[in-house]
Amino acid sequence: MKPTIPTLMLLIAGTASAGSDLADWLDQHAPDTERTIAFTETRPSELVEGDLVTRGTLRFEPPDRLEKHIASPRPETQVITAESVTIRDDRTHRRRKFSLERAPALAALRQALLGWLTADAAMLEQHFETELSVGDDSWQLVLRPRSSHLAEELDSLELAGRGRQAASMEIRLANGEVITTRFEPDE
Amino acid sequence: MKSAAGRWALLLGLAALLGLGLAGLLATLQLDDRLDAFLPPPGDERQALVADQITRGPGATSVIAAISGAQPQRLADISRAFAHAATDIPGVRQADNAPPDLAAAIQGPLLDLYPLLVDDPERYTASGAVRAALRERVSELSVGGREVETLIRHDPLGVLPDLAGNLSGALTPHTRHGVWFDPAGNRALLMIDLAGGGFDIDAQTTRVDALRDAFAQLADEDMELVLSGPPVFSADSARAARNDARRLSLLAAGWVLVLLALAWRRADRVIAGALPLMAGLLAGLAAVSAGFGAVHGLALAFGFTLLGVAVDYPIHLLAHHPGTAQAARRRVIRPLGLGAVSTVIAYAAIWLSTSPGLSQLGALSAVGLLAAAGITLFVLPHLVTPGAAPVWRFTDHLERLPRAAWLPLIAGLAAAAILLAMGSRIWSDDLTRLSPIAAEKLARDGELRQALGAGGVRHLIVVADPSREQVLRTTEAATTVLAEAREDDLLSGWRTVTDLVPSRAEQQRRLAAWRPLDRLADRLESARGETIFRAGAFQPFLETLANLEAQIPITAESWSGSPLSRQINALLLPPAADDKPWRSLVVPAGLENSDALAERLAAGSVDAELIDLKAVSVAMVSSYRRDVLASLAMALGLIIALLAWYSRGSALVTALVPSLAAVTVTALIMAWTAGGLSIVHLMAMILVAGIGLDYSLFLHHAGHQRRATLQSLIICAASTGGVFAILGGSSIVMLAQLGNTLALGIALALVFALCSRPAAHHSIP
Repeated sequence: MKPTIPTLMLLIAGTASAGSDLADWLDQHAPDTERTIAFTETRPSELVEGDLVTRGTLRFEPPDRLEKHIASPRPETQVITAESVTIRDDRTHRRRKFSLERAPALAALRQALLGWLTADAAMLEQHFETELSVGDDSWQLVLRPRSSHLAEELDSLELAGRGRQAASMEIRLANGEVITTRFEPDE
Repeated sequence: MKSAAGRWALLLGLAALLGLGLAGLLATLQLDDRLDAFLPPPGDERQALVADQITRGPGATSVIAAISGAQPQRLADISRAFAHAATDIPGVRQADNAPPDLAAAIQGPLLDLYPLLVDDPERYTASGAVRAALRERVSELSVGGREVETLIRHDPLGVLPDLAGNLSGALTPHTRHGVWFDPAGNRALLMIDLAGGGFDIDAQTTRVDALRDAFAQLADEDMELVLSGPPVFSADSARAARNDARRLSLLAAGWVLVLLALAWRRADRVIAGALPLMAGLLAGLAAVSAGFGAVHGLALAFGFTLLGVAVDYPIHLLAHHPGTAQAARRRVIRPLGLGAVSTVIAYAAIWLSTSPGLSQLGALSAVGLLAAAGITLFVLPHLVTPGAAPVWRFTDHLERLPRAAWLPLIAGLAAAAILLAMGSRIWSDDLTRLSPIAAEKLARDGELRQALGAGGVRHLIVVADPSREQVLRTTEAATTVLAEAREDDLLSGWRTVTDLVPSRAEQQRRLAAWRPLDRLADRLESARGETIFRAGAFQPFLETLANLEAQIPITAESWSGSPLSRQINALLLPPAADDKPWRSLVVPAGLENSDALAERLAAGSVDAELIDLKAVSVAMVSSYRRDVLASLAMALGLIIALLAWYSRGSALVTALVPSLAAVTVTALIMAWTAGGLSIVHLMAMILVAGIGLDYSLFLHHAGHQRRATLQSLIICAASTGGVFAILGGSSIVMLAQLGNTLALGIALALVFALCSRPAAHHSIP
């Protein structure tokens, strides 16, 4: 279904203004680089009693290396690149590599966090439709994937926070599940 | 004698009759466009397998699509959309754009069958292994995803990823954004299987067109779709052959008519001149249609070139007017008759060829030429009024040129000497030359198949046994040898049907290795207790194991409908006939030293044969060429005998030398410029010899009609050479080769014949 000219113009106008808003806002609100952020991720799972809870710290190394240092349920390090995630067992140091195709939520997480941490509005715009709502001190950034491949799995990713701190992230999967992550700054 | 009106009536009547007959025949002709019609016929089982792989195998119905012209992400999206759209087209069996990965496996039979595909279950069921496996599953959990969880429930021991690595063979296509891409990342690749055999050209053409339409509807403007593979080639080649046939025959007919009109400037002669051509075509096509059932498109296209040859006959006849018709006939019957019969003998030799395409060509030409000669000699004289033909000044100038009988002799001998010195290098062993498809299309197909890990196969290991179970067992024995060879770096991997369809004996052994189930269940439970997995998490796995016995035997049918079935069909070949064996193919990858591997197989007492496909196809071409050359030598012998019967010794030599010289010089030039002579060139040479012979014979029998003969020769050469030069413009390589060789040969034949023309007082009255 092709968009008509008026719709196109609206879209262009819409995204253009959102883009410049986002870029400005990111400059003011994105955290400094080389931060480590402690996180607690909760997601539903059929394989464990209750929800699966993962705790650890996220570490970002510019330009585009994202590391998840996981303390529980098993101590390990996940290095997430554009194509794959490599899991290194902290005890045995055995490495295993998976294509990111198998974990779309992780792929989206990576793109979103990278964009946020590097204040790269263009990158966010390229991969997502962005919707920024700013309150008094709190803000909410909703990202919806542009790629139809990703959109099949993922509805949206919502980052929320105060000032320069991200407080939480909610990933809503297409099947209705929600992955919730709480952040604590960890300097 | 008949009145002028009577003659006209007869002339027009015949023309109309022949014209209608021809039109009717062409309209109802069954065209056959098989790509292998011109390939050498297989001489033994091995060659039959190679021919099979090239034309009839499952590869014969697979189409590779390459999409380019946008960013990879966009290409990936379109690739997915196209794959969906393609499967909706009737006649498209499967369209894959991504590896049969674990996501697809979840929906397929793999999840129920996989434990039987593992050749060493003990590796996974040891208690240490079970605990380590579960720890790994926990980390995978945190990578997350519904798909990952389903897999963990069905495969807590992590067997499937190892299996998947095996199943995709040693060559894995590159993947980006979830779909296959070429290594450079510029083109998204898809593999599309069409239903049915590769021979229903019309059906395949419809499907290929439907694929192109589907793409056009989905794609962005700058995107490009390239389709490659035997069904596409057949469709394109059939279309090209038909277009060419139409275009070229119209051009050729036009050229000939114009020339005849210029030569004779009388409508009745031009029409009369066209009669033998039409009759020849009609007779030739009818003979092939009756004898073979269908006519190959290329044989048909070649048949139109008969125009160029058969047109000589009326030209010669009519050149010898004025006089009565009977007198004219008497003058030409010997040279024309001899020339025609010689050429027909050569084509009859081709008719005997074992390749259907060549055989048709021989039949069409032999019958056509005979008919054309017959009509010229026995019907035309009654239809045309006597009268002088216009004379061209040009001919007088030609007559004044010096004779130089030494030129063809020296040139011919020199060329023959060089050809002998070049030895076997003059021949082209390239099987692709005998294909109507352009070399660069074949090269691109090879490159796309390599990118998909789907072909570019040079070696095959073939196992043959009377029963399916036995062939699978022998194949498994062969893979044991291959595993050792891999340890020694002889090869990097292989694809075999037994990865998906193990022998029954092996299936039973593996079933036993997973047991006792209680012990494994206990180990799993105790390892689970050390992790966060809840009780009952792995129930699906335990159910799969419990149902395992019911899955035996796994056969090829167990996989039907899954993308993996393509691999099975390609590698497990049921018997071609009741008394033939089952065959299984193992495709080695990264094989450097094929002799060493063959030795290993022999040493291991495994009844498997390593075949070098390229070597076999080269052998096929050369033995085929030898057969054709043998027939031609026989034909040449017959022709010389024929001529000796009719001519004096020296006249025989002077008649033969120019035409043989034209053949050797043309052969030399084509061997140099075309990179080797193929069967197609050999066909052309016969015709050059035949036409050259015609020219010499006519010049020697010119008698008092020297100028008329010379003039008619010029007209002949111009019309024939022109027709073949037009053929040289064909988009089909085989036809262009034929046309160019012939145009060159005819020019040389004329020049050499003129050089050797007898002095005025020596020619035979």
